[in-house]
Amino acid sequence: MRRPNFITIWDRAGLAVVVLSSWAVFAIFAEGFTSKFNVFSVGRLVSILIVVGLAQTVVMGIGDINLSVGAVGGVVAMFFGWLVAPTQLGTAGLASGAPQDVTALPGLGINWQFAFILALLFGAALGFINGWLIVRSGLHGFIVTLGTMGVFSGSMYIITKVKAFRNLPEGFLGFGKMKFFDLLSPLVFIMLGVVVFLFFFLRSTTPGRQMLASGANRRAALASGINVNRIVISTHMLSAALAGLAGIMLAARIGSAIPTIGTGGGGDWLLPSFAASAIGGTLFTGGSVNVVGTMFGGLLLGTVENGLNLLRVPGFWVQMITGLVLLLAVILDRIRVVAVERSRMGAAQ
Amino acid sequence: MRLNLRSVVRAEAFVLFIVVLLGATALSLVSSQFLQTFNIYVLLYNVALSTLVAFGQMVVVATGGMNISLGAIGGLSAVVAAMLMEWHGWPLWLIIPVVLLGGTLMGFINGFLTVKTGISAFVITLAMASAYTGASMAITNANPIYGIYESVRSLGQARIGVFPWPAVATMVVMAGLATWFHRMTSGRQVLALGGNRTAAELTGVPIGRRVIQAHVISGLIASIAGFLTMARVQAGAPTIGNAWLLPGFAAIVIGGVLLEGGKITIVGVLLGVAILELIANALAISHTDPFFVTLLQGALVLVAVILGQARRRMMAKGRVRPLGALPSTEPRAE
Repeated sequence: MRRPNFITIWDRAGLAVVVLSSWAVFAIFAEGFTSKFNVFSVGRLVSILIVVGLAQTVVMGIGDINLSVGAVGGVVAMFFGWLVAPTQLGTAGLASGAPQDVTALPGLGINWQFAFILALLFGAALGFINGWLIVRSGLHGFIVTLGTMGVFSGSMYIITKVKAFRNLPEGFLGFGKMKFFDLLSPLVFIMLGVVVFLFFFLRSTTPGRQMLASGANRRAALASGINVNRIVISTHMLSAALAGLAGIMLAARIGSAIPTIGTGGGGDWLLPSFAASAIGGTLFTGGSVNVVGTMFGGLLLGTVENGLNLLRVPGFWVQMITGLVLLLAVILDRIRVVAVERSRMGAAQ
Repeated sequence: MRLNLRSVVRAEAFVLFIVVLLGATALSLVSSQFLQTFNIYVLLYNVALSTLVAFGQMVVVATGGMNISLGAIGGLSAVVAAMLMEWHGWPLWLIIPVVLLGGTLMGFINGFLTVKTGISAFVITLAMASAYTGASMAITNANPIYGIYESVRSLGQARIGVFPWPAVATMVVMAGLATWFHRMTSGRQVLALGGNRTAAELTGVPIGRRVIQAHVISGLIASIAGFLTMARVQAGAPTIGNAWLLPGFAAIVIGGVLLEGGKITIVGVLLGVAILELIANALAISHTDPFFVTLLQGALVLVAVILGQARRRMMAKGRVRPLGALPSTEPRAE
């Protein structure tokens, strides 16, 4: 049995310590950080960030990257909005009392729970396009998803004419505002469900293990009979479905499906998706993912964002800090991997 | 190299040249607006600026890396230039070197971190992009700075007939890159290490220094592009460079630059940009939804890389496949 030392303990629990201390700091300095309403809104914000991060984490697990997370999130949110928005735009009930909302679009008006499933499947279909192109062309995910990013969001902008789906069904809006114990949004439980699912999927199921094996060593995975192409495609489908889920969650949070979900407005998802994964200890080289780490990474990013907002720090500082934290995380990860290996070797002697 | 007809026809860029020629001919037949002096001027201006962006990306791609922060460097350069004009009233002969030095410095930071940490250029430049963008947002408080000098404004509109004066900068950069990549040891070494890093290292190429150099040149080109864009839009907007990533990559993959590194083509990239800008011009003339540009750029990236891959496979088919080689699932480049 290895004697636990500081480095191996920090390797397991360091991030949780960082998150807890950031909570402590903001609780002391940022007024209103611990208020019930703020905890509720941080919960919604963080849940979306974590799901976005996980969409990137799974792709990083196979040693690939997905630049189209934001585009897919936006497209799926708009698809969902189209499915659930009423077929005829009402003239009454608008907050402004205006005769007609010219920036809103009519939809199909179908049941939102059913539409939710359809939208996730649509997301998976977009992921299939990514994965299929990568497998068929043999190119790296970077350039393929850069291309599909333009195609997905470009088509969505053209089709929707950059209008939004407002007047979403009451049930869905209520879902976004729902509170458990006057504190937690159902989005938090969706996020936790995704984390638990992915944790066990990647740890103890055959397809999950095959994913990581393909990421760690593609040739070895092929030689041991894994259908790597199928794994690549299904991983991209999973990633896009998660990005779509995050898009719908954001639509629930803001109460409408707007075209800039995932790519603008609240900032592009690309950077936070990598930052959450890298802070959590998922490697860019593939083969190793840390689902719980991504959860803590997203928790840290969301907490810092919210805390800085409460301290009235302008939003662009948050983006800058996210970038520097990403940089710090990958550099520390380098050092950490070396340190952990060294301490293991020391313990073995 | 002897220039004969056969070698010209067999060159990859020849196909692109034919496409540009056909596109321009078709446009001039379909639309009477296309050949108007002002439209050609706008087209050439767009080509000049987009070519700089594409070159900035190509230099780093030549090493097998990429520069996600290209637009962020351009944006920060534009903002700093405008800031020095409006708030500090520096003379222009001082501002231009400072801005170019700033771009060089940002490129150096990218290259230095990439080399010293051993982390992929993608991650480093993604992280640094947010730092640079954050800085330009912080300087401007997310609003454009309008108080730029009259001389810079007139530079942004200076032209002789259809020729925009700022395009001179593009031509200088083009000549510089051609000399560096084809005539100078350091440029050749960048291509060598992009093609095969281990082999280059064994033959004594200072890998780290060359990678940093490529990032520095990329940063310099980005700051030139940022400054010229500022002169054109007549404001130091922090949003300059926001959308440089997709068109930059689109132009280089259409032009035939290898994303794995080691192969560049200056003429190809110029023609790639020309194709993209002809399409954008056609869409503008026909008053089509401007979002078609994004869609088409994305689609052209996919078409170009897939065609390039297919051509390489066809060329490889003639050769004997090494024993035990696995089909199409080679470990892909980072």
